[in-house]
Amino acid sequence: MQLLGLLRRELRSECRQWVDDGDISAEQGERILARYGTSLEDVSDGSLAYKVLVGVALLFAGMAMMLLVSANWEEIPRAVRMLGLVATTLVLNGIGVRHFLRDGSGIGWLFVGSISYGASIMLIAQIYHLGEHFPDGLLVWALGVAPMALLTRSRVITLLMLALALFWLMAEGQFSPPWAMVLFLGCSVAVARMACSAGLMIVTVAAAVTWLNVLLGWAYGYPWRPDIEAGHLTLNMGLLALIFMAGHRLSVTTSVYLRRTATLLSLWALRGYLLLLLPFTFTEFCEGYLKELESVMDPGLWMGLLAAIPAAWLALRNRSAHPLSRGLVMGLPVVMVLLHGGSNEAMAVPVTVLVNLLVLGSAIVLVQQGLLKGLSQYFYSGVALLLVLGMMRYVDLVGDYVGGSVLFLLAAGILFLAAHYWRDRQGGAGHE
Amino acid sequence: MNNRQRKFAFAAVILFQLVVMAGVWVNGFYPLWLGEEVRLKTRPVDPRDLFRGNYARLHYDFNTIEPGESADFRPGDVVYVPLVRNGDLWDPQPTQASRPESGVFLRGRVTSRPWRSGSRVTFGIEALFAPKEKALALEKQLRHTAVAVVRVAPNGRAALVSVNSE
Repeated sequence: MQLLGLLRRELRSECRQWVDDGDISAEQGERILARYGTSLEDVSDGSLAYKVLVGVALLFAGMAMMLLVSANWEEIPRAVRMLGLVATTLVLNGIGVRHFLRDGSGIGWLFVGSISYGASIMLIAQIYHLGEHFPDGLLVWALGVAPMALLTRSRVITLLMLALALFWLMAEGQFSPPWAMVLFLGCSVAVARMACSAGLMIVTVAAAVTWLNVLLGWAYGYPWRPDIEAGHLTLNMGLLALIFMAGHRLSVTTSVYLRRTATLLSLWALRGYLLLLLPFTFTEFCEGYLKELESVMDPGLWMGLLAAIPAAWLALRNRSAHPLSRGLVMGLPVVMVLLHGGSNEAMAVPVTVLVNLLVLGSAIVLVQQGLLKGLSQYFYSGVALLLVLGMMRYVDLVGDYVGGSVLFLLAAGILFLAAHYWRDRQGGAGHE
Repeated sequence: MNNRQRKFAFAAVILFQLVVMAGVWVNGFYPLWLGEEVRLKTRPVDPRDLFRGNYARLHYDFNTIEPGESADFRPGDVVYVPLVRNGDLWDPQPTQASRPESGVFLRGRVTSRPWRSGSRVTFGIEALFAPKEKALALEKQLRHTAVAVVRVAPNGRAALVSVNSE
């Protein structure tokens, strides 16, 4: 895991300082930075500020255009309004294409042109009073932006397309399964690969997870509407396991952007796992979950297994992950089937106790890995998790006062053992 | 991809965007061009669309299918409402799944599942875009007496022309 790779700007700045102070040579500095896909000469810090400010300015210009269209200029004839906006779209895109073909610039023009294109669609809908429900307008807007994103390989235009596609997903997803989302996800992955963008890849994965959750909602509620059920948690367990292991699988690649993607994937999957586990430490939540599960015929289980089985296979082959996380991922398909197959509320208390112990174990591993590998994010995540767990259990007792006390004693015992084991190992390492 | 191919690709993308815009325009315009004018009773209320600005939402009696009938209709189903002339206004007949062989009829789509108050159907004539003040005034003035002037194409697609007092 290259957590440091996520802080390239800071690393570059530190490295320049070390070189200036004579602590390391320029050549050594270059070699260090090359590991993270950057160099001492990299001047993207200054241009990033410029790009961000220009990007936000363009977004504001686009929003100004949308609001101008929304203002209902009744005194201007329909045809003039419509042709004006269509002509604006053509001019903006024309200038953008000219610049892009000349020297690869012009993305700003094309970005505003893409917003103008959408504003034209919305204006036509407004002029002709096209229905109250208008997700199709968003769909054709996103469809028109997608090829522009592919041709320019621009991250900002692709993000615009993804944002529109997500708006459409939310609007259309209430009325029918949003299958067309697969086109936008495919387009976004293609641009992320061509532009070597880890950030865009992560946003695409998040959009894909949202889409799969909406599709599962339709599997439950078809043909009436998408329903949110307990099986969604099962699906997300499988997806988190797959994302986590895919991150570990990618972390050994030679491509710097893929390594950065891998780090981000593993980090966010880990955060998602911790967030998903916490509600299960409450008995009432476990009871509700087990009660709502629809046996082994639950679509959430099957979609979850489609993700959890490849994740288990990756865990079996990849030894770079920690044994606890590998074991959890490998055992996940069986756990999912057991939870769905034997779903009865009587299992709630044992499951809650097991999850509490699992959270405790995870926190210990995070603290240990954080110290062992020098990853402060892991160390503090582990400490925070321990404190949150302690606070939650003190407020919400599992098995009343005596049960809660036993659980705390058990937790204290495990923590003592882990601390002693750690001290002995450190001592052993010191003697070697 | 060389520069010449790129030029063609960009031209194709811009042409595609033009075709989409033209398609949206034709879709909104052709009932106005080909359709027969009908006058329907309606009730306006006022929301705001994030992308298209302020509008008066129009509710027609035929936007709701009664609970008894609606069990047969699923969200996404295409339905038809035959219209019969009654003096100056046109009265909606019960919603049906099959396209009427003759007469004037509206084509709509079921957009909600059956509920206590029935299913909701939209026909594309439920929004009258107007400046905020006008939309609010419409809601107040025409709450009980509004009549929507609509043009209906032979295939049932309708376009809203205006909303007047009865």
